[in-house]
Amino acid sequence: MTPDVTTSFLTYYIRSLAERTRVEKTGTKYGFDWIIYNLAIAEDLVPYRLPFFRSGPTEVSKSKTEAEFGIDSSFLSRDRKTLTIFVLKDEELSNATWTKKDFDSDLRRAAAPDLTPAAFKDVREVRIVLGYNKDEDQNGIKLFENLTRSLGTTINDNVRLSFDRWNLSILADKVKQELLTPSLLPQPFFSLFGYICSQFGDFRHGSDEWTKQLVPNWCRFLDDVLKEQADERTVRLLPVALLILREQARANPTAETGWIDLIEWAMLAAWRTHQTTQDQRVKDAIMQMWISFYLGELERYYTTHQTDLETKDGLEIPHTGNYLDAVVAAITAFWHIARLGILAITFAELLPRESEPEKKRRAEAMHRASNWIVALINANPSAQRPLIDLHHLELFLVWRALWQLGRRDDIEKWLLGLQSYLFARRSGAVALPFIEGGNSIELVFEYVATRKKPPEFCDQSSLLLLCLMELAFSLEPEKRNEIIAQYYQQLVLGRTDDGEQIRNCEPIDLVGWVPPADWGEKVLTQSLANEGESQTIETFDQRPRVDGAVVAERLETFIKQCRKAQKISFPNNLPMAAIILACLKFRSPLPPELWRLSIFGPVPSHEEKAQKELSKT
Amino acid sequence: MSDEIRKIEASKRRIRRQLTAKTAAGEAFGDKIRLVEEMAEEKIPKQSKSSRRSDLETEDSVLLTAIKHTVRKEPRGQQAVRNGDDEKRLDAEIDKLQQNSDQASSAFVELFPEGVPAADKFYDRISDLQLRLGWGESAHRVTGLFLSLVAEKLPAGGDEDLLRALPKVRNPMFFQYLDSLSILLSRKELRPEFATEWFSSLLHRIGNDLAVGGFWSAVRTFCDNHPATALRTLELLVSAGGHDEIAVGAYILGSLRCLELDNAGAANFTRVEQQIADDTTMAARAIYHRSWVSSAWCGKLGLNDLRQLTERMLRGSSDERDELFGIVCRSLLSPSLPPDASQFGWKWLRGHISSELAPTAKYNVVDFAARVLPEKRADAAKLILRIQPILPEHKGIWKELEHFLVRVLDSDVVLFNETLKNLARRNGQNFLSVLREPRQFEWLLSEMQRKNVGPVIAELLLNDNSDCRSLALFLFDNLDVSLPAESFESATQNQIAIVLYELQRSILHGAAIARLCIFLTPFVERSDSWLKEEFYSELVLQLKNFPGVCKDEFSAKASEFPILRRAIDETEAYFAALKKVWNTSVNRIEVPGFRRAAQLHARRFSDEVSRGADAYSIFTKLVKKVHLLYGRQWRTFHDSVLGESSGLRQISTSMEFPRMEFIDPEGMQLRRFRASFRIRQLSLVSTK
Repeated sequence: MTPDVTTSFLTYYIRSLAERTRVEKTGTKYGFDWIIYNLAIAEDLVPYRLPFFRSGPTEVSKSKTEAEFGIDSSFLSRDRKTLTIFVLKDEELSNATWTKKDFDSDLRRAAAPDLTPAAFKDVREVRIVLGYNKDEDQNGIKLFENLTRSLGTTINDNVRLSFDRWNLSILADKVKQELLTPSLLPQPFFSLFGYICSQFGDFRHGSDEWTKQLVPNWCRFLDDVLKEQADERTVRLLPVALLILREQARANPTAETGWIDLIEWAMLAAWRTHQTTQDQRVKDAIMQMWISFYLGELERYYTTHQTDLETKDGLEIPHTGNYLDAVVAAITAFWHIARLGILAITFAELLPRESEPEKKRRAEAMHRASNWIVALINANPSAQRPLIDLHHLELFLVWRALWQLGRRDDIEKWLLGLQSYLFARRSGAVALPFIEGGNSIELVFEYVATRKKPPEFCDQSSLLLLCLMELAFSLEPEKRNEIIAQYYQQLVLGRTDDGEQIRNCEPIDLVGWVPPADWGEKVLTQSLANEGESQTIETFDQRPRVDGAVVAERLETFIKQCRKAQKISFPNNLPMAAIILACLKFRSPLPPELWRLSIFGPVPSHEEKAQKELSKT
Repeated sequence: MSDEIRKIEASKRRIRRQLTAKTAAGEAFGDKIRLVEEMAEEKIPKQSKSSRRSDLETEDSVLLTAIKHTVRKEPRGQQAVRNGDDEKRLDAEIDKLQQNSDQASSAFVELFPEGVPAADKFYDRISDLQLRLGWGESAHRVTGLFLSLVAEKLPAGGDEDLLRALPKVRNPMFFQYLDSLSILLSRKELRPEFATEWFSSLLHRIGNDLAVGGFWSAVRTFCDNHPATALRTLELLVSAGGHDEIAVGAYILGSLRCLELDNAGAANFTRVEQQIADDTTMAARAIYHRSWVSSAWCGKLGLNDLRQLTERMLRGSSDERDELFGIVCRSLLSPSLPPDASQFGWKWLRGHISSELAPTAKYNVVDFAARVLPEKRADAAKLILRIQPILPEHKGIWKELEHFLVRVLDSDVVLFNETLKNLARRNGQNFLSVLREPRQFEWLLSEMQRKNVGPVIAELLLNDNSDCRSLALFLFDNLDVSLPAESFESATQNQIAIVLYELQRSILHGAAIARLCIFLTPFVERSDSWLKEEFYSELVLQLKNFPGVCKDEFSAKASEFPILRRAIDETEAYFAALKKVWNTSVNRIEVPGFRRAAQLHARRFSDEVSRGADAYSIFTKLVKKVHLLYGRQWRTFHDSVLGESSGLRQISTSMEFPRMEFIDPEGMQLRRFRASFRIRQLSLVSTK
């Protein structure tokens, strides 16, 4: 995350806050008075007057109803010689608001404080800070300067009087410098968030503790933040929380990828809000977070680590010196492929393409992302090692990144290479099992560690192989048929090129999947692996060698009938990459329509069909 | 036949003596051997380093001294017979005892002052005495003498009860008694019924142990001294018809045939022999057929006998046909076989053996080949080749084949090389699969290490047959031999390429790969660019695969061959780049379940190592495994003596695993597939 982006998201957040935190019917409105309080504490000032009653860590502080006399909060220095008075406004500073929003009157009253209380007997200086979290204009600034000049430099001749102005930028800078801690967040979240911060500091990304403790806590936190009718403030809070997390976990060697993981969970929570809110500002904030925060971070990350991923065997780390390392390397490689794929799809989906320069920038970005993927695959054999059926998501992303640029030759090479690698495992020639249909990495590990196939291990059915064969339909028929024949003969049927059945290899059942009708509502909230409908496909047996054209024809018939039987519609206003991210995080299979739509085009409606028939006649 | 058995038995004794000598020589190892003895209940007498004699040993009689020690249950730290002089004195004493029954009885009473005890105690005491007298022939004579004395002293039936208990004597003393039985049976005649039962029970107890020579010797003595009883025993054995009874019966029949009997005895024998020959039961037929082997060894198997025997057995059942090979082979080993019979036997073998033989017949052929005289080994080698294939599961045949090959290698390297090549061509795949099993063909490999087998390995490497090449690579990997460059001088480019691809698809140790690559370098450098490129890729890959040993080997030759230097430089750049990446964020992701899987794998690996050590390590077979729970020192309490304290010693071994097999297992397998494809392509080109 670049410093500019950090500042931007802090600014967005602070700007979205009210002057004071208060509970309203529509939900809690968080105020920046809490930020001011914490900034003062961070500067070692002692609270004298606060606009709220401090309460427990899980509660919202209760606002005071007493007269303020222009003073929102005041603090004494440790030596009690300086009194700092904050005048806070959640308004723009301009000519229009100067009087109307009581800038003038509140500053005047604050400049004449009652210094008679015993606590002020040593006060030698009064410093008045006007803090506001909205924009300003020159007139507003001029009015402020005029007023402060006119109010003089002393009070009662012996106390020095000074003025300061903390606008949005200064507030954001101060927060960035001094307040990227859990205390920046509103009080109700402090406790859980502080705990999450400490866990993020300690747990390694992807470890058992990470998966079983930190991620559930983080998701609970996200639910808490967004549980009420989320407004812009709450959405803006998410990036700030993430920025604080990153700041708190600098010592964690896995913080970079771990942070991306946490951002992704936050993005899914945000997209859920996006699906329910009618507030355009909220929708805009979420889209901004998606593009500038998440995708921006992905782009920065992969720009930084591009050479690492391109290094030959760079992901093949020897942890144990046995085949378990190959499993770990594959999981790591697929993790990166997924993120690069999301980046590639988003570039295509969201980058503007109206003007020629825009088109050029978009194409460059898409090429860059797809080149990163290709380089990763070329450098790391583990990128050709799908271990579980759900790895079809990542394989789809590889295909999509290449397909959207028309890199058909690369698709062909990639599919053929993948087939060879899979065949080495399917034939039992290497000590790595074939794809686990039940999607359990634990079972894969157990198989490799014990060299015994666990009873629950399922390698008899595959959606992944069907997906790959369907992806081959994006190629010219001749090449498609060749690839499908290879996949079907060697991987599905488990036979050599000569038609000889490989020992201990039973034919695999190809299985299609149709998501449930309400998948669009559920995809962002849960796994759909146990929902929807599975479609088994009969084995197309031909000896000694299958004819790719015949298999392709029958597959196409299957696809057409599937699409005709159940039409899939995609949720409105939800980027495709967000859907894929949700499937990745919740371990849902990918709706086949995602690639079928690209390859075969939309299914014609009844009206369109009727029109076609009519035109024929 | 019995000579062979005697040789094996003598060899066994020799090994025991060597083991004893080692015990005396090494301290820590000696302790362990002592443990071994305890576990195996083999009380190996220790040779004293001290020249000081105990008080009792100063007495004149070696035997009486030993008897006194036995009776007084003195610790068995020192032997009564320590050298050749003692042995001679003991022999003289035994001669006297044999001539003077009073003295013999007196010695017996010294040993058993309380009278003849129960059988187990009797054998225990005799065993103890034998251990004090050493493992020599004299000790057996003493034992035999005392056995015959006790048989005389015991009332009727008591002697048989005592002898009936002999098979229950523990190992290894039981086998020592077998060498004493000849003395007993030269002096004592057994009841035929008892002889039938006792000989069979002894043979059953012996089982598959090769130290059976003493037993057959005793049976021969029994026949020689009591032919009429032996003949009656034979009749009873034929009726009994068990496996052991058949073996004993055949030996008795064969032995009796060798004797010069008086007229009555001869007539009686002819009658019984004819009855057996005409008997249609399988047991009788087997006794008759096998009896000719022992007859052959005394020169009583003539050409006609052999011809009739082969014709008779060929007409018999399939089992008899299979057994015939064994009978012919064992008969041919007899130095007393007449030349015409020998020629007939060899010719018959050549005409009848084939790859279709039953495993037992194949075993007999290979066993025979391993025992023939050196001048007959070339013929024997041809027989061996004709019975191929021998399947890997027939371990016994392979063991005999190893004996044969070792003997051939020892006497005629040219014949060995030729036989190895032919064997590789005929049955290379099975041979290789047996060689790859742990502890197989260790003897042959160690012998080959000392001989000049580089040329034959080179020749096999360039062979058109893939099994030959694989075998050559295995031998090259396991033997530290140099290949002669001249063998490759006339090799074609395709042959060199095939060797390279064969290397690619084989799994060898890094050092062997490096050595072979270095050897191939000058030949590749004369080749076309495609092969040079392939070879260079191979060098780079193997440097990545075995970054330790390959780099060491290549570096040593890098100044001689620039291509090696270039490969090393490229690999160093590869590792430098990798080193940078390993600690970056892209590799920091952990995987849930990995830690548990690593533990599971470590447990399995440890279990496999432990089981492998138990199964294949001689040391772990000999030594009892005790898990020491505490401390860093250990000692044993053995034979009522607390031993010296020893420190724990760490034994470790290390080897370099092929790195790329774990990094890119599929890629390495595909590489092997491709290598096979290229070999097929190049082989086709070569044959065109």
